[in-house]
Amino acid sequence: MNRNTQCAAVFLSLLAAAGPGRAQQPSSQDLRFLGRITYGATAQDMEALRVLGREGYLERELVFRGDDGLPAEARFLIDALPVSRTRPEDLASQLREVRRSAQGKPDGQKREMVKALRKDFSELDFQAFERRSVRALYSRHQLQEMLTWFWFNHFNVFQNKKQVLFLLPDYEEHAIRPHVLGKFRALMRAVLMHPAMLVYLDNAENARDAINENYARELMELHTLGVSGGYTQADVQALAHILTGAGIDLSTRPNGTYGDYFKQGLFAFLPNRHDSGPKTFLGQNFPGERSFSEIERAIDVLCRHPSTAKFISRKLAVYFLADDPPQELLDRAAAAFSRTDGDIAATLRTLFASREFSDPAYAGKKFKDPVQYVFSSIRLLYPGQVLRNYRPLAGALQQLGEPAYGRQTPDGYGMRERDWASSDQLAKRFELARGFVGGRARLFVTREALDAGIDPSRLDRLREAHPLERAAIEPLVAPLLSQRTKDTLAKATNSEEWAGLALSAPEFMYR
Amino acid sequence: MNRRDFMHAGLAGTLVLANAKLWAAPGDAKLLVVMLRGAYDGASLLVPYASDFYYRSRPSIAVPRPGSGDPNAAIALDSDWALNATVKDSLLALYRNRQAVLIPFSGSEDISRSHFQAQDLMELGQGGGGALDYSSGYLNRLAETLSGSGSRSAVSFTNNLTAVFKGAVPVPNISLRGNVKSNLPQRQSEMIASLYEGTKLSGMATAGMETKKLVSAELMNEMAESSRGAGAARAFAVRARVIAKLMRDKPAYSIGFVDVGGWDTHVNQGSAQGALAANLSGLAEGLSAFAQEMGGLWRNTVVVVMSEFGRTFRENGNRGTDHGHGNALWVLGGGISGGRIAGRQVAVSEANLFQNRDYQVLNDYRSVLAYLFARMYGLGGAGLAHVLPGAKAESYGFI
Repeated sequence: MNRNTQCAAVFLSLLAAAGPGRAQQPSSQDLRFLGRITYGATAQDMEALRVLGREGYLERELVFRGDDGLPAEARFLIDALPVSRTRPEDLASQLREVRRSAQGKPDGQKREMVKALRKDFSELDFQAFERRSVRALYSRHQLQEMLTWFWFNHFNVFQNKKQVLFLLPDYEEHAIRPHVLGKFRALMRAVLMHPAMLVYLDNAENARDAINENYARELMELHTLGVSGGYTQADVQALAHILTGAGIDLSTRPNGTYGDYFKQGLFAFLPNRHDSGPKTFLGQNFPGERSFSEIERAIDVLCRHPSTAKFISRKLAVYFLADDPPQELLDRAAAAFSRTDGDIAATLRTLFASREFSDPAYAGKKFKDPVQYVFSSIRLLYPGQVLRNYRPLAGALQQLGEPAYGRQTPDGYGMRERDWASSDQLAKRFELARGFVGGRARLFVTREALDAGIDPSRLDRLREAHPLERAAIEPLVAPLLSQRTKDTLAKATNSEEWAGLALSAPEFMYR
Repeated sequence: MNRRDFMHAGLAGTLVLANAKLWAAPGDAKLLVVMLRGAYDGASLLVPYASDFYYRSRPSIAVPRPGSGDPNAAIALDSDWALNATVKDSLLALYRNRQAVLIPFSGSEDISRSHFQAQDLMELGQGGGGALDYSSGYLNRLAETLSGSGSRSAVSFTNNLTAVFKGAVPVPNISLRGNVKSNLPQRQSEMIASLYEGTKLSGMATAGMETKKLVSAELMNEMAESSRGAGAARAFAVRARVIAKLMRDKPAYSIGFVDVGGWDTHVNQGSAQGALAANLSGLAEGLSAFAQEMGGLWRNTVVVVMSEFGRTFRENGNRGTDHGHGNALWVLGGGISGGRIAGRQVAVSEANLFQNRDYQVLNDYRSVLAYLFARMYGLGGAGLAHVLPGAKAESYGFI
């Protein structure tokens, strides 16, 4: 079945499902299956799974499909965001412009000008968060959106470090997202050649006579081999020397190759900063070259290293399956990674199609991180009702300790229960759950309108326009609940109380 | 030959703890552990100013010598060590009041130089070598061991429960960043508690809701207001005051933990003036504020400040430092015999570097903790071995 006929089939079955004949209750197994590869299953996802079957559904999801899976309203929202039309080169020009006009001005004024510019850049980052959230909440292709978070987190950069502030939206959109289901090498290379990473881990400063080990170490420890992957301090130093010259060029020079120098966007290989002396890296002899090819070779060595296959497949298994995945499955996933030269989709196929993934022993055991908790709450409560205001979601993530683009350290956020389960976390989730229900009017009005001061009666009308559809919500959670939870929920006196409690239930903390 | 080529007198002796008089009345002692995540550059705080090698190794980031006339010159503590002037009114004042001890050449056996591996190792309280065992952290084991002897319990002032508090004893956490005031009606809290009854998260769910009530809304408001518009360095001072109020007023909160980030200074670190200096001053001011806020209880309180490892002794190519090994650990307290540099030392010279790049570790962090726990709580034998398996409780002579 090709993609078009698949889509048509889903569409037809949705039409059919809208009729009076739909009585198909979601099964708990299907909810558990989808719960781990979506940000919370909606009726639409359940229907797609029913029509396509697990294999068909997985095959549909294991291909990157851009924004094809977005409803028109959501796509319109993204298209309307200025960040969607802004290139980092333009922002670099703005930065240059501000610096030029600040010259000779008093220090106080200079500071104000820089501050104003950083505020504009922060606004673009917020729009990147809106774009990320719209896709996570409304794209039919949930897996690629989860993976965008996963790989951004794997190759984490921190918003508030120097120029990362304005490089970040492009980093997520062009270095990370197109590669989330592709070859690991392409992803790692795109990251290495993105100025956001080079600034964040200081490689933009790394030069043959000014060595900085930061990126070299984290590239092996966190991005490829893992801390026990078999490298030494000498390898860190060798890789730091190899990486010299991979830097940034914020000038207006056009893209292209100029002798040994080349520029692509704001990335540049700067031969004069590169150490072209011989090196020994991970047991291999690098004779030394005055070109980027030496870095390409190091990328090959790292991506094809058996430790990388193990490290990456384990991390994927931890995110999607279990905090402590079974070794036998890890071996199979690592073998798939190596066999396919680091194909991410093939590695995931091995995980998702495995016996273990469908084994009830592994179902509903992953504690949701705050991102999964917040997105799954909204998807459950308001499926298809496109939010206008994403600030409450950003605030919730801040409260829960997982602000978007706010992880300062390169390890990224944790993905295990031990990283998130705490008394404070649970208490905050109970409060936020109440807010998502009782304060829903604010989700459906733009932040500009709220900032301008909104008439309370308009909020009341918005509340009424977005009622809680308990009858639609209940089938998507009830099969997961214990009898005790059901009994307690039965005491709720209205649908708002019911929904707040459902989002607070222990079963809803897991996926 | 420098005097530091010898072990300090008294260090080699084994402690006889069972008969030693305890430092505070049982049940009164308060402990706060402060973890500096990212590996702070101890050589910019505790400056080995008598070492020419230090100044040769850090041509652009060394903290200027005492008496050099530089406005940022370090302030001498003795003939070898000086403190960064940025902590003049805070840490230095505590030191001069004999309420601060600094232990150079300290750290763990970790040689991965990985922040995350080394932090976990340190929070779990493990020695080097072998795989990390995540089943429990040393402060949880401490709370567990002490739970038989009174109402001591622990609290984490962190957004999430980190490795140090993992383990058998349920430990609540209070995030001091961001504040959701409790709006849950009593009826709903009860229903939620009922949802969790019998599940493994039950303890956490009820502790979370109870803690929200325990930490008064006024206190959270105060914090939210006073931290508004405060920079990162100032923000810690605000948090430290709130921590002190909680530890002072809640008898149950006797073992606390807090972490502070932002120490991974690979570029333009600004040792004497700049980012690092501001961070150090914010940290030290915060801990001074903590001491002040503890009031009379400060006499029974000990604060330990440590970081997963130190930084390269030589500066790197970007006026920063890379990941190193040994570092300077601090111990503060109203009732300690402070005003001294403690632990084993060697001369600060090229020949004495670890792997020709870092400070050595001569004073294992676990032996410092074991010494503290022995003196503070009378722990020894099996109890101490449970909290810090394999650690040697040597005397550091300050408590």
